[in-house]
Formats: sequence, structure tokens, C-alpha cells
Amino acid sequence: MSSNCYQYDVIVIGAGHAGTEAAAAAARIGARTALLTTNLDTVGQMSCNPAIGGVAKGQIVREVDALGGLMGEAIDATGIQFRMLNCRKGPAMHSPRAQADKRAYQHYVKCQIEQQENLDLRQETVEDLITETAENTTRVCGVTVRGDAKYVAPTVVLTTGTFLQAIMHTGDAKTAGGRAGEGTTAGISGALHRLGFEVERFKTGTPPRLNGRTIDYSKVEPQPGDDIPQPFSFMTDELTCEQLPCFITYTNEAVHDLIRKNLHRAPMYSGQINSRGPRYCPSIEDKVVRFADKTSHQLFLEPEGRNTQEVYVNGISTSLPRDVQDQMFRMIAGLENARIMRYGYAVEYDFSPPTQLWPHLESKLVNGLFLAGQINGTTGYEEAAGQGLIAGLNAARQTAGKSPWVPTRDQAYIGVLLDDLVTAGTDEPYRMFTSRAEYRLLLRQDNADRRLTEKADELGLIDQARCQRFQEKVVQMNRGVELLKNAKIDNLAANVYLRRPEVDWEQMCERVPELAGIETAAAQQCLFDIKYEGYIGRQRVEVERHQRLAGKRIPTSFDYNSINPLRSEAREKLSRIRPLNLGQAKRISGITPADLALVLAHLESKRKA
Amino acid sequence: MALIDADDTIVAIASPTSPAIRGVVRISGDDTLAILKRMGIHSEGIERPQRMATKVDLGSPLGIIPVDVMVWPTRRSYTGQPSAELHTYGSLPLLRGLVDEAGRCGARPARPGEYTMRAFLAGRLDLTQAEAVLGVIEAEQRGTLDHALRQLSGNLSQPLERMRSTLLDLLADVEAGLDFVDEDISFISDEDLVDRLSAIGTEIEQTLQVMQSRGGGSSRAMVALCGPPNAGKSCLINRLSDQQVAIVAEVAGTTRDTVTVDVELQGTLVTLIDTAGIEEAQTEVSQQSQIQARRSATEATVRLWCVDASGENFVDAANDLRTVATEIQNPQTIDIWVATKMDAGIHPSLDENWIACSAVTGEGIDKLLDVLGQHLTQQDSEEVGSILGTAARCTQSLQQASDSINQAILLTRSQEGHEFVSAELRLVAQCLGEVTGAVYTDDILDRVFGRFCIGK
Repeated sequence: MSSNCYQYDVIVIGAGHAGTEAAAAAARIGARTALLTTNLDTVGQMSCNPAIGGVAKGQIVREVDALGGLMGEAIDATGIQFRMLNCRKGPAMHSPRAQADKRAYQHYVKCQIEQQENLDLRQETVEDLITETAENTTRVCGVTVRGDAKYVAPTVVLTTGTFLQAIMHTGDAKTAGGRAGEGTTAGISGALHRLGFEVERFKTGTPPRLNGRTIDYSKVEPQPGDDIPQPFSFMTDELTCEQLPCFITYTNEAVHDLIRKNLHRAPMYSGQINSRGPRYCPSIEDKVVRFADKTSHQLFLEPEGRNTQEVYVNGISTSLPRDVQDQMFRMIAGLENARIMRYGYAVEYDFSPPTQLWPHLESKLVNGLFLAGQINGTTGYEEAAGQGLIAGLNAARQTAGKSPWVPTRDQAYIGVLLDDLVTAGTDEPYRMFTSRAEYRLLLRQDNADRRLTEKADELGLIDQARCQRFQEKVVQMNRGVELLKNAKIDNLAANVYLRRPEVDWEQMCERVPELAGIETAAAQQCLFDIKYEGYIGRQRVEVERHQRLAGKRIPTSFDYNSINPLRSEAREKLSRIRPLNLGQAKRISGITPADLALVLAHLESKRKA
Repeated sequence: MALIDADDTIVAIASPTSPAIRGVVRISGDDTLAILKRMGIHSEGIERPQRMATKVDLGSPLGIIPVDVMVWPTRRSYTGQPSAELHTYGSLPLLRGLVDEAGRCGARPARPGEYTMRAFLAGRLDLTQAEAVLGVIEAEQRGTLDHALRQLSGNLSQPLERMRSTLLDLLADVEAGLDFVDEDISFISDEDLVDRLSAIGTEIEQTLQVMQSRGGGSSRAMVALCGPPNAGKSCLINRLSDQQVAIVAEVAGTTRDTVTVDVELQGTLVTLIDTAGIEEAQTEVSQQSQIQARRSATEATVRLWCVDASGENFVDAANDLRTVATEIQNPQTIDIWVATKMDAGIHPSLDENWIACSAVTGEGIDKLLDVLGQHLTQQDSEEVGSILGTAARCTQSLQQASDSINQAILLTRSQEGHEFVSAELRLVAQCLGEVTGAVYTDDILDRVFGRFCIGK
């Protein structure tokens, strides 16, 4: 029996983007939280590309921020280039993206964690999960760590990223580890196996990093940041930092030939790796093979920070051997003399299929054990952060005896993410796209605060300052709406006039001068709301229809085998997923309206009985 | 997810639809009274169930028809919702006209099982009764849908499925442009988008026209006569159609050997199909006719399996046919075994499973007609109603699809964002999916990744 025992409300294992958000959220709502990481120097590390946001991902960051998370403020404080993507499309498509100073970002996150009340950040290597089983129910009650010590808590959040049974590949060279230079977490793999978790295998890759001193920037196209950079956090007034450019160059047929000749040496093609990787983030080998008719591919040269020459080459993720990687760059414009600082590699890792979780990310197998981030088969810092926040929040709520909270699909991209994961699972590393959100027009980056701030306040996730700021914005918006309703332009109500596609806010301000007094963010939301009115209305009708289904709850203990006429496929799927309501049941693939009708009929007859 | 969503107002034909019997169209849902009012049936202020005689204008060409309306204005009805029954002549075009009119006035054509579900939720049926209906809907729905599409539009389900696929490709292009901005790929230009939208729009319009023009007389049951060559199928067809007065049309089939005759048997419109003799195919031509024969046999409502009763090889021929019948079995279809040419002799192994008859003397024909009539009436009441229901739903879905395509074209022309165009296209995909029975799934991303080199 170990002599060193520490008591907490919530233990979070892993301090990446999911772990830090989980720990911070739990601590913010008052849970005594321990955040355990094998290495204090990699807290909040950006393991892959030095960027935050992007289409759909930027919206998630705004949501994490509205829920009081770390990511938005961290990137605002440490970004080196900001761009609002998709600006030529409608407001629902606008997506913020930024390059980060990788090291500064990580320090910022670590510092926020250190300053968080109720939160202890500790360097520990977790060796095992401690569980108890009584009456067929298994519950987590803590973890043991290396060096004869244990941590005890009613809830544990696992955010071990790609570190489960991880193997890195460069050519035929294989190294155990989830990130260059780091090890793997054998103890937790063993525990999950013992507890009966299914695991599957994914792979992903990273590109080589170059020394910027050796790049000929005269031969590549610069890609500057926005003139007026827009912040991620609703708490940031403006961004004043000096922005650095990124650069674009291209591969060519000579490079493709080289790759084709050496394909047999790439682990993905030699048979050394069999697991599935993400289709939206293909390696250069994949691009050359699958799209053979494309004679060049775009490469983005992204600086990794202000105080380093290291450059991330986005678009050329590879696991080809070192000599091929060296040769490739010699044939690319601007990179002829570039020196590689880190070689690209592919990493294979275990993940736990997320259909083993409830929507609030607690495991169905082990009560009190939450899983978040890449361990659930997702990719991306933003997807990890969103899950981490929800897992940490709900772990703390469970410890406090409260029921879970998860955002719905019409409320947040995070809601889409959670529901997709636990309802459908994923057969490739899951990344968010706007096309996954059926209520895309409602889930805009500009209105994330309006969608979530009040709820965040109710949950205790945010401070007074944020609440107040939001209230002020609402007052401003209401004033804008009022002004637009009452003013007339060319005999039209101003809000009708504004609906014309060619009319923008500045023109409106000329016609209705009082509008100029409205603060930018509030004005923007007025504008978008009015422009989108018809479609928002239509999606709302859909949402309401769906809410009626979601209101028909199914007890988790519901026995689908008791419904005789139910098809066996439906029986098997429903028993496995155990949807919480008919809305979720409907989204399970292969479940038909007739199946649902049978379930509803049984629910109703039980309710009446 | 209409089946479990009892919150909107539905309409359907609720009675057998043979001529001369009264036909009933049922409406149920909170908007029932409002819909009746829009149809010109004024039932405002009614507090108790009430019957009223009135007229409904179905427009050209059907005109104004007399309708007896039974209204339940409150939740105290069979379905637990305000509801109404519209009684009129049991004529298919009139009933269909009423359903369409109710649809125009805001009712949604009901799906199979919806009334049952509502009645169950209202406590009018117990769980066992509800289960009995809901448990078989799946298979039935699939069968009826196929059947209805075949009947309505001459096998339009394949072109519709193709249309839907073209549409999903288009949607993938639009979505790729929205989600992957940093790629150096131009996914789709506005001109291209408008062209492709227009092409799909035109196709949908054409399909809609075909459906509408065929809609009224669509309820014909198909009776296929199958059997080896010289089993007397053609003679039997002649006899059956001779004996009945109303030969509607005689058309040469699409292949040499298939002849169809439209007749009225015992009050039901029936298409008799003379299939090619089922045998080993010797030449390419006969191969083709074999394929056609089997298809007709598979699709038919009733199959008359004919064997020469007087033939020496009766047993072998019968066994061969049984094998074929099993191969192309269809749960929707009824098989009747007919021993022909009984005037020339009866094989000793013939038992009560066979109806023996002679096209020459007319012996046994009455019995055959009786059995056929029984099945057809049953089939008629069960199936025609649901085919018409399916027809109404398909028409409404296609109309919606067509409207959304036009809206999408408008949006593209006025340079609105592609996210709006996508919202319309998703609706179209959903509508087309409802017609073909395909469930809308998120295979858009699959199409995107399959077609474009995307991602850093």
C-alpha cells in the first residue's frame, strides 16, 4: 500500500489541448483538480502545425472561448498572423485562423493553468487506473503513479492523445512514442485493455520542419495576415501585434517522380502501416498516388515563432525515408538549399472508439472515467479542446452530484462533434467540417457568445467580467435592431432595405446616423441576423421539429430485446449505442422510421403503465 | 421522421378503391379545420363531431364534386387529434384529387403506419395491435414504393436515383468550396452551378409531369401468365379478355414476345401480361425474351403459372416452374397454379392446388376468375390505397425538390453565398431521397474526398 495518497475531486491525465481545457473547466466550477502530465515542459504543446482555427475549427475556438476556455485568449496573446477565412462567402462561413508562436502559446497556456485556483499541475507518470467493481458496475476511483504514490478522486479524465501504443515511422525506421522525442503510456493502455475497452488503430503524419535561414524567400509567394486582424476571444478588444507573413510554394512533376520511385520505401505503401489515416490531411505520397493527374501541390511555409527560424511546411506530410525527404526539397522552388531541422514521420496509435462513451464523454463501461481528445479518434487542437472542456465540466459536475450538460447540435459545433462521435463513431481521424453541421447557418463564429455565454454563466464556467461584457453587447444589439425597425429608407423599413445583398453596414450608417454609435461586434451580429433572417427562420423550424424528438427520452436501461418485431440489426445497434432520446436514435446509421416507431410505442406503453 | 412526429397534419385515402364503393379520405392533425376551410369546407365553430354535406372544387378537369364530410373538431377522435373524413364516390381520380387538394391546402400525405401510430398514441390501440402494424411497415414500404414507382412512372426509380447522385456530386462541389478555402482548386463556378442546377431541375420537372399524367389510372393490377411454351397462355389470355367486355387496349410489348392486354375483371382494372414461354434460352433473341419474361413475372401483382394439364410431362413441367417461381419470389405477389387445356385430358397427379380450366370449352374459367377476383379485391384495398398515398407523397416531394432547385438557381444568379445554395440542395437531396427510398446520409464528404485532392 503506497504511503503517498492525494485526494482530489477530479484527476485529469495528460496536459495537451484537451487536458488543459478539462482541468481548467473543472477547476473553474470549483472542483479540486489535479492535472498530471509526464512532462511539465510540454503542457499545451502544439505537436503538429503551429496554427489554431480554420474553417469550422475557428468556430469551435470561439465556442470554447464563450464557455470560458483557454484557447481563444491563448492564441490572441501569442498569434503571429491572423486571417479571417471565407470572407467572400456569407457570415456563417467566416472562420478565424491564426499562426501561433508555438513556444509562446505553450508558455501562455501553462501559465494560465498555473494561475488557476483549485488546480494543481504535477509532473507524474500514471501507471494504472484504480477501479472498484460492485454489483456489475465498475467505477474509477483514482490512479497510481510512478514512485509509490496514488491520486484518489471520484472522476478521472483521460486525455492521452496519440500516446497509446504509439509507433513513429520514418522510412523503415520505427520508434516507440507519440511525439518526436517522447515515449508512450503503456500503463494506461494496459488498464483500458483490462477494463474491457475496445481499441482500434489510426495513423497520422507530420511534415518536415525547415530552417528558415536556408529558404530563398524571393522565389516563394508571400501570404500576409489580414489588415485588421480579428481576435478569437470575445474578451480581446483588438490585436495590435506585428504580423509575420507565411509563404506559398509548389511541388512539381520532378518531385512527384521521385516520390513514385521511392513509394516502396514509404511505410504506408510497403505494408509497414495498415491503419487508416485522415483523408483530408493526406501525406504527399497519398496525394501523388491518388491524384496522379495533378502536376503540382500547394505548400505553405509557416513560421513556428518569432524567436526561431524553424518553419513548418504545411502540405507535405510524409513518412518517406530521410534521404528522400532531403532530395524532395532540392527540387522545390525556394527550398533548393533548405535544411531540414526535423524530419517528417507518420505515427500510429491506439484510440478508443467513441461509441463507448455517453455524449458527456463519460465511459459506458467504467463510471466516472471520462475520455477526451485524440484518444477518442479525433484530430485537431480545437476538436480536442472542445471535448476537454466538456469532459472536465461534466467530471466536476458528477463529483458535485450534478447531472451532465452537453450542447446540442443546433447550439454549437461542439454539440455536433460530441453527437457525431458517440452516435456514429468514426472510421478515420475525425475532423470538424461545416458540412457536418446541419444547422450551419445558426452556428456562426460571430454569435458563439450569444449561443453559449448565458449557459456558461449558469454552469459557473465564466467570470463576472465576461458576463457583463456580453450583457453590454446584447444591449447594443437590441438598440441596433430597434433603430433598424423604426427607421425608413426609400419608404422601406431599414431592416428590409438592409436585406438587399449589395447593402452593407457602412451604407446603413450613412442613411441612419444613430447606427454609427453601435460597437462593431454588435453591429456585425445585427447585420448578419437580418441578412440571414429567412434561412435562420427555416432552420429554427427544423430545430424545433427535432427538439420534439429529442424530448422523447429513452432510459439508459431500456431493453431493446423486449421489442419482438424489431429487426435484429436495429436491436444490435440500439443496444450498443444506447441513445438517450429518439433524436439521437434517429441518427444511428441504419435505423429506420419504423424502428423508431416501435421504440416509441414501447416507451409510451411503459410510460402509461 | 414523419412516422413518429405526430405534430403535423396528414392526409390519406382510407378505403378500398374499387368503383361503386364509397371512398374515404382522412385528414388528421391540429390544422385539420384550417385545411378544410382552405378547401372550401366551413366547419368553424363546430364543437362536437358532425356530419355535413358539401362540395369541393378540385379544379380542371375534375371540377366540383359532392363530398360528405365528417368532422371531429377536438382531440376526442380516433387519432387523438382534430380530424375529418371526406366521403365521396369510390373513384380513384376523385380520391386522388381530394388528397392532392388537401396537400395544396397544407396537409402532408401520410406514410404507411402513421394513422396507426397516432391512434396508438391516443390510446385507441394497444401495444400488440400497434406492433402488428409497425413491425411489417419496413418491408411493405419498400415493396410498395418500388411498386408505386413502377406503376406511376414506368420505372423511373433508376433515373431518379441517378438524378439524386448527380445532385449529391454537385452538392459535394459546393460543400468543398465552402470547407476547403485554402486549396488551389476552383471547385465550381457560378455559371457551371447554374447550368448543372438547371439540368437537374428540368429532369425533375419532366419526371413530375410523367407522374402527374399517369397518376389517375395508375392503380392497375398486373397479372402475368407464365409457363413453358405451348402451355396455352395466349389462348387463356384471349379467353379471359374475350369473356370480359372491356378490352381497353392491346399493345405489343417491348420485346417480341410480351403482349399486354388491359381488361376489367370483376370490377377491377387489370393488365394481363402474356410472357414468353419459360425455357432454356437458345439464341440471343430468346435470351432477351427470357429476361423480359422473368422481369414481368417478378413485378406482377398476380402470377398465373400455366401447365398443360393433358401433357405427359406435366409433373416435370410443374416442377420446373416451381423452381423458377421460387427463384423470382416476391412477397408482394400471389401465385396461382393453372392447369390448362383440360379439354384434352387431365394428368392423374393433378391435385387441389391447381385450378383446371379450358380456354376452348370455357370449363373452369369461372372458377379461375373467382379466385383471381378474390385476390385482386384484397390486393386492391390493401395496395391501391397505399400506392396512391405513395404517389401523392412522391409528387409532393418532387414538387418541393423542383421549387428548391429554382430557388438555388435564383440565389446563385443573385450572387448569394453558396452556403444558401447548399441549404436548398440539401433539401432537394432529402426530397429525392424520400421518393427513391434512399435515406439521406452524410456521404457528401466521401464524395468530396473521392474527387478532390484536399488537405494540407
